[in-house]
Amino acid sequence: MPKSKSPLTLLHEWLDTGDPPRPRDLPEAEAIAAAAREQGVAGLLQDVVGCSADWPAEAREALARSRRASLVTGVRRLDVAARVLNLLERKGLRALPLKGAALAETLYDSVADRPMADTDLLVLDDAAGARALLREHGFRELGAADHAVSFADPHSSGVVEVHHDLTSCPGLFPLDREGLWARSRPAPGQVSRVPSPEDLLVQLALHAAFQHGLVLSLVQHLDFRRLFARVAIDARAVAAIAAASRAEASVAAALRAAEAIVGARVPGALAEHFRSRLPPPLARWLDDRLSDPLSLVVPATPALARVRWGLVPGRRLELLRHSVFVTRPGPAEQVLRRALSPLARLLHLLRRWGLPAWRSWSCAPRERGPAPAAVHLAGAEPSEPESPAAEAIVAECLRSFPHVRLTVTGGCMGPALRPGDTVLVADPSLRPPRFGDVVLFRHPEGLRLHRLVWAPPLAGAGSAWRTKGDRAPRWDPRICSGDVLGTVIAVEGREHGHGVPTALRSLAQALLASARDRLAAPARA
Amino acid sequence: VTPEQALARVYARSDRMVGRRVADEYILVPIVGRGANLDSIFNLSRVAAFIWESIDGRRDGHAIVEVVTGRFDVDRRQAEGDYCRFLEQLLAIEAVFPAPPRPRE
Repeated sequence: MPKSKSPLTLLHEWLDTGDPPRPRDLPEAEAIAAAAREQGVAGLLQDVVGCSADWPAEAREALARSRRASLVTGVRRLDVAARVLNLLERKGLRALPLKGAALAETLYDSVADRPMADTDLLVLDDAAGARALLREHGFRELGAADHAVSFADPHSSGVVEVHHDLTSCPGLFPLDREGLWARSRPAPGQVSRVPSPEDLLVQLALHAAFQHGLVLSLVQHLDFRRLFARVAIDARAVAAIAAASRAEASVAAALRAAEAIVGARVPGALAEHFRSRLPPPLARWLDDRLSDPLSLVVPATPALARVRWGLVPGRRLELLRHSVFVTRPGPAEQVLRRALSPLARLLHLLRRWGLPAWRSWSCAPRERGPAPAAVHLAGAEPSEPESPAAEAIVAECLRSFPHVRLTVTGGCMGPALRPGDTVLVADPSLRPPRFGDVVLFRHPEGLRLHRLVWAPPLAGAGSAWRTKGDRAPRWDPRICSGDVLGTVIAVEGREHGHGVPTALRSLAQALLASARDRLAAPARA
Repeated sequence: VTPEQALARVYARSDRMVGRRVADEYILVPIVGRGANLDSIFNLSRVAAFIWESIDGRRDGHAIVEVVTGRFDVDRRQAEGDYCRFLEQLLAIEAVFPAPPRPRE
């Protein structure tokens, strides 16, 4: 008997293909309706199956009730947004709605079709003043993150999140507050002013990628599809806004996810511009995840650390700094608290996503996609699991420090390098790699420390380079200069001479092995 | 409020009540309330929804009855009766209030 599809799979297929789910019986219909509520698409589902004979009347009624409830909460959330925005405006503080509050009335036919868990607003001026103002008006502070403070509305059970930046790590993605306000436009609904569609797209992408590691509910993924379907997007404006806020990788990642998960039709110019903006390691990871699109739909666990790391190539130290050293508004006299706050933050981050991410990187090979390679710096078979992030970490350290110490773990570079040796590796810009050098480079199975046996001055500009373990019989797959992350400049506690003679021997050995292989090939055939 | 008064006066919608169309229903949602309590919402018929949207703080009851008879297949007497009964319900839930006199232009 074929295994039945999960309610989430059926909902995903409906959004992807347009064919609504056809439940076999009432329990399945109720399960689909419950999943639709969790994913925020109950209203949209009711719209398409409200009169369908394929659906039991009880389940249709349950969906209709969900939709009415969503309407009531939506209207009340937007009312909170409107009241807070008016309050701030009267004090001369500019603010705009974010996410659901900014799009429920424009991208969806009804507020009921775009549920909101809370109300998000972005304050453009004087965040501390806005916070004080809300407290004055009876809003009860519930908690503060590095980029937002949440309040309970005194008139309803609603929560309003007042953001002073779009994402965690404030400042990592610069916010053009003046431009955002200048581009905003009047809106006809309860909320009277909303960000421009281009700003909205960048905000949604940052929220999806950086804040949630691309794991969203179906309706949140659907926001991107709706945006493209309902509004004319100026691709050049999006490109400019994304570049200014250093969010190009986030936009590229979110668009690719929305295309794969809910069939968002990204306009050609936009797709063309952002296709090359996704860093290759993140693109590979994303492609792997998208082989099972539901791995990026809640309740899947986001690989938050991994995605954040991949989104900011070249700015990893900045990410670490923003993650650990968080500036929150507060009394200046709390010196001890401020001094201890980075440590507490570091522990929090490690507990929150550092350890799960490490486990996911280091322990659990995914069922799909390539098996994890190894941090294996001298050759032989991979012995320990490794993550692509290790490569990014090393590259980032090499860019930031004069040299990096690495420990050799294999034996194929002996006797030049022995297991346990500590080598000092320098960035290629400080010590350009040459023929005979031992280099740290990207190998299909992970990072390797092998000798360059075909490289400048022997190799011409633009031609492939070749590497080989000194004791390995054959050379490694071809690499390009960009694959080399660093050059070994010293071995601690021992002399480290230039390896031209060794490289020549290695080269001759590899050529002989190659010739033997070619001669043996017809016999094997 | 007598029927004569209801028809002669101008009413405005309270900003504490929001009307929204969802699927084939028109629902009045009171803003003041907690969570998604469905007991507090009001489903309006097509004619009631039309009257609600016509109450704009400018037109009196006679003018609204006029547009109702133009829009729906109903005689004036019936429309006046429907308008007065609906207005009474709206006043009871404080969804409308007598509009202040408009300054002369």
